Amino acid sequence: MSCLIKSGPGRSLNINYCDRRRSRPGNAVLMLLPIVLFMLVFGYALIRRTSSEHTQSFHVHRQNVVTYLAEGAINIAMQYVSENLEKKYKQELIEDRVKMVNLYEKIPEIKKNVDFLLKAMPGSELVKLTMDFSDAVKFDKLQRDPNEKMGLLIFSCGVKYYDVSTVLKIVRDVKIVNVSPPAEDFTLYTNTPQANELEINDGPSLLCTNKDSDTGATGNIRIAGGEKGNLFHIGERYAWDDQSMSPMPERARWLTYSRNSPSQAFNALDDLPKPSISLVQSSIEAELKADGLMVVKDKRKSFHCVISIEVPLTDEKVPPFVYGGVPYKKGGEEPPEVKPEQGYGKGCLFGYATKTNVDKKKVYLPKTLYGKGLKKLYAKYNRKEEVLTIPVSANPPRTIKVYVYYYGPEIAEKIVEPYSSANRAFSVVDSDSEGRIGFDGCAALKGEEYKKRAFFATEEINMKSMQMFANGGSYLVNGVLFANKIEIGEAKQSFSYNGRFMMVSDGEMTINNDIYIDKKLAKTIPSNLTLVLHPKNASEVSQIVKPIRYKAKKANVQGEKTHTLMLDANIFSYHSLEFVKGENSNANSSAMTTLFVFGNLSVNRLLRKEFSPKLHLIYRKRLAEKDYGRYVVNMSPIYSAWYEDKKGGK
Amino acid sequence: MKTPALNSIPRSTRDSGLSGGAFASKGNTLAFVLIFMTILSFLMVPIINIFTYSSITAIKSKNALIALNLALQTIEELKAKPFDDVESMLPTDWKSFEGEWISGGGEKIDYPEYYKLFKKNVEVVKADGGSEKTIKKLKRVVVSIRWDELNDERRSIQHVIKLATCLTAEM
Repeated sequence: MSCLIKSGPGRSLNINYCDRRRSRPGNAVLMLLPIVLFMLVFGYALIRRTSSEHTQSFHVHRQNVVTYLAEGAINIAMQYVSENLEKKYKQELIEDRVKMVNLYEKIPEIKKNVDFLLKAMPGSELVKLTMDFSDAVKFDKLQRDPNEKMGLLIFSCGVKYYDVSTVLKIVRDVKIVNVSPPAEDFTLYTNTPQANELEINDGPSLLCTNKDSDTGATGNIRIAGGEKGNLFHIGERYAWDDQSMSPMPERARWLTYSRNSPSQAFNALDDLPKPSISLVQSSIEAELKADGLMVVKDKRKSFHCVISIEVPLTDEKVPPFVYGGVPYKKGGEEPPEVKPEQGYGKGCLFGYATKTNVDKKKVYLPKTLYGKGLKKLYAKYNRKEEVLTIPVSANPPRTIKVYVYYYGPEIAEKIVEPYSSANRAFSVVDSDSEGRIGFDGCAALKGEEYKKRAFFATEEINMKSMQMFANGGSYLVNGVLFANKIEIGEAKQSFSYNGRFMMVSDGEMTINNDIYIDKKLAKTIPSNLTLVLHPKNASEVSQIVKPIRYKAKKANVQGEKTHTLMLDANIFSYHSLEFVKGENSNANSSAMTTLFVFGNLSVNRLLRKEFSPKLHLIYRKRLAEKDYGRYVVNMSPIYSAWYEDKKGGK
Repeated sequence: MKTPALNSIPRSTRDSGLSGGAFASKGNTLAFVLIFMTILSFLMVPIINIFTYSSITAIKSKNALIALNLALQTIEELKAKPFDDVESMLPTDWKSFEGEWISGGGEKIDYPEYYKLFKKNVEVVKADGGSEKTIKKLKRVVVSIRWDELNDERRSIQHVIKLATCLTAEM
């Protein structure tokens, strides 16, 4: 070392030499150690990274496991709730009593299936599985029906799998809607008077069978009358033997048409007020003036009019039919060759004999008859059985039983109260003094109101788009379907359905084929379909809007070839119906067709010139009153929201 | 300052500098190098192991993620199928991921060659209880993805991951 110091003139160089020589052994360490350290640190970091990646993949797997288990458990719960929505939860939802229901604990079926699911992933456990109904709101602030609402059904499920847990929430929209057909208490309901007071039953027969043979309910008839009232054809002689129709008694002032002398039988009816009847061409018409279907001339409080007559069928010689209020016997044949369909007549509108009635040996009539100014005129006709027994023939003496109905104004007020005045616009919902929207049981809501209530709203509904509701050989739907354009059935395929639902359009609707209820399933699934066409521009001012279009098909009815359409449905069409020539029939006009409606028909105006088939309305009231039978609960077919909160595994 | 010429530096000083001087003359440099090489080689063993282990773990993690994604894909495919078409595979029937993966618009993408390593099995079982209607409309689905990989001892071991859920006809 000292030599370096002494080196004199080359000091700096010498010092360098000296440093280099002394540090030389350490240089290798200094060079290698950082590399080694770097490699160690780098390697360790790499290990950490790859290990954490590997660990993370397990955590991700566990997170997926809990998500799918939770989703599966919720699916089990939703399936159960969906199946039991009507029977078990509808009432609770309507009454807002579904609050944090512990489905896992309360429903053994759910518990069993959830446990079965969890068994597939050992190590997993369920923390909770609940259902909650919240945020219920009305469709409209002013709606009258307090039970209609929409809200959120929130399913929550907590699942734990090792160190990872999740709480999954799935939200489904729920709508509770009233699927009552417009004017469901009426077999036939018209809101606006006909332009021609004779128009209502001009043309082919208009027949209402008001007794629902399934439930026993009786439908009403309401024909809006104009200033001059309505004129109704009560009887007609078309193609019948002259002897086929017994004339009405002259003394009863009913008749100017009389070829036979009045029967003694009818003398007994003198005291009763009668519709005035005059002969117009080949028809006997009952002029129903002013506001009602029946003119009430006599202001006495009883025995206002004879509505129906029951015919004893104990003897074949006794006329088995009543036509236009008059017993009918086809002349001279032994035994009388009677075709039940001959009993059909325009008079049947009032419950006169129909085939069904004859078969049951009874004549049914509207429970209540409605007309313009319901509150003023309304009457309830109470039935008094066998008030009069009238001999119709002297040889041998036979009698018929006459039911007399009387009119009581006090009862009438009660009966009429729930219904709106005939002057009220059919579809417009007015608010009352409390600001609630009127929904009077007759009115059809506007299209946009139905659209709010629809669980399925789209541009077009046809057989293809209905496939999602396919249920074997029929469609199963509950709720409201809404579309701008609806095609029901196809040329070669009728429309068979179950469930309680409405198909509503504000554009156009066409019925291409028969509509049936699938009878097998109907035993267990309450079924009712209502077709509603309420065009956007329909109003009292604008009457010219599209009607429901229908196509008939060739058929053989009671031995006669005809063009028919059978509809197991209630129909509301703002502007009547319109015949369209289809592939299954060569009929050229509605007059050549026969339309059977097993339900009711309600229209703003029945345009009989354009729509004049043989129209047979067979009243059906399929919606049960009890247990909220007219309400349907729907869950949205897709999730409205999905929320998940995962913990652990980080 | 002018640097002195080399020949002006005393010899002793020059010798002691470049040729190692007192220490160098004893062969220290070689010894150090050997020692350090030895140390380094000892140190490099775990380091190399670290890298090897890291590489193996990376492959494991890659495989696990691929399997996980394939499991997700499979279960989502089952969810998208019509309910009646969701059917079980035979327990012994493990189907590998190969061939066409995505197609459409005239183009198709095949599964990467590497995905052949993975095989799937789907077990579908009807609901365990409840009404007849429920049993018909509820299926428990378990998707298993299996793959083989080498362990630390270079032996092939089998890995399986599972996902389970319940599908309903209602949705």
